[in-house]
Amino acid sequence: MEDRIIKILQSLKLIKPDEGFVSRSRNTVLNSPQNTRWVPNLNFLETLKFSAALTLASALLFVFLGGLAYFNVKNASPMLLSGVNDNDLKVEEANVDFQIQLGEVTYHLDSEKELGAQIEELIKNY
Amino acid sequence: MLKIIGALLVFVSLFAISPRVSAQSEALKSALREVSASVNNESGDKALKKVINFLSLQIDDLTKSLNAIKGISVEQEAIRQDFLDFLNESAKYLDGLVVGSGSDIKALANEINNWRENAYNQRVNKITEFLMVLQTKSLLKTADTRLVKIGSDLARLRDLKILKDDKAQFLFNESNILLVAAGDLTNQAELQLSTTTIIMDERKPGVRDLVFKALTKIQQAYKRFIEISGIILPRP
Repeated sequence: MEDRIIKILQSLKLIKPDEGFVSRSRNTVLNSPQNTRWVPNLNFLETLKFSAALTLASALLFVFLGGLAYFNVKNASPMLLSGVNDNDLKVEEANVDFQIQLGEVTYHLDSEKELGAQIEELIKNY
Repeated sequence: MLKIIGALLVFVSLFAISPRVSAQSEALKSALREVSASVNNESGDKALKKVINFLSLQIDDLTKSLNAIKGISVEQEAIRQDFLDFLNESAKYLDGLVVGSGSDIKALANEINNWRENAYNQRVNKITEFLMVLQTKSLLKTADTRLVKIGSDLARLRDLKILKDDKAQFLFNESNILLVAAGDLTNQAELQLSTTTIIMDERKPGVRDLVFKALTKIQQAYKRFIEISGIILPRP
């Protein structure tokens, strides 16, 4: 029984593929794309873009998670607090003061009496 | 050094905001000073020409101010056009006056004075009030925008748990109340402008009083804005 199995196995060793199959398979293997070894892309611009995006994303995440709370408000950028920006505020306030004290329009009202008095004076002189 | 730069910026910005206004006021003041100097020191015809020059400058000034207004209602546009027509007619009247060395100065001076008292002054007052109300509305709009921005800053700082001072919020609430009151006064003044038949009531404040009260409230609101700014961004 054992000898029979050995014979069968030896006969299997003699099995050979069909010539056509061998030829087709060889062509298929040789024409398939070759796997190249992975090489890191060291393009400078791409690296820079990636770094910038990563930095921005990190900064936004930091702010989103309340990172600014770790800083004193004195150090916060004026751009973040545009409403209390000191210079703009003072300009606007000064403009209101100007309207109250020196406004051109009020001058028309104030000059009315003075001009009238001058014309009266002129009439008296003649 | 930073303080000096800041002060310079404020100074320059102020003149950038109202360059025309300052220059015109100065030109008018100068013209009126010339009238005063001329009445007592020069001949009657020269003095009268200076009176006419002052009035012409005033008409030109009011015309420019009226033309500079933007974003007004249809009703206000009609009022403006009416004022512009009046100023145009007044300019023609003054151009038509012939003053020379042989002119009857007393008669001409009387004629100009009567014209001023019966037609011109009243309309100039109306035009002035119209301009005052619209300028106050514009200032109020800027102040309201500032209030919203400061409110947004305060909310952000509270969310970040940076702001724990209740005083800033208190001042903000006060400025809000002041600007609401200023808006109410400006609306009252605007209503008086649009009312064609105003029953003169001595007890009721006129447009000028209402506008000055509104401006004072806006000014008080800005004092609070600056206090808030001092709390949030303390100076060294």
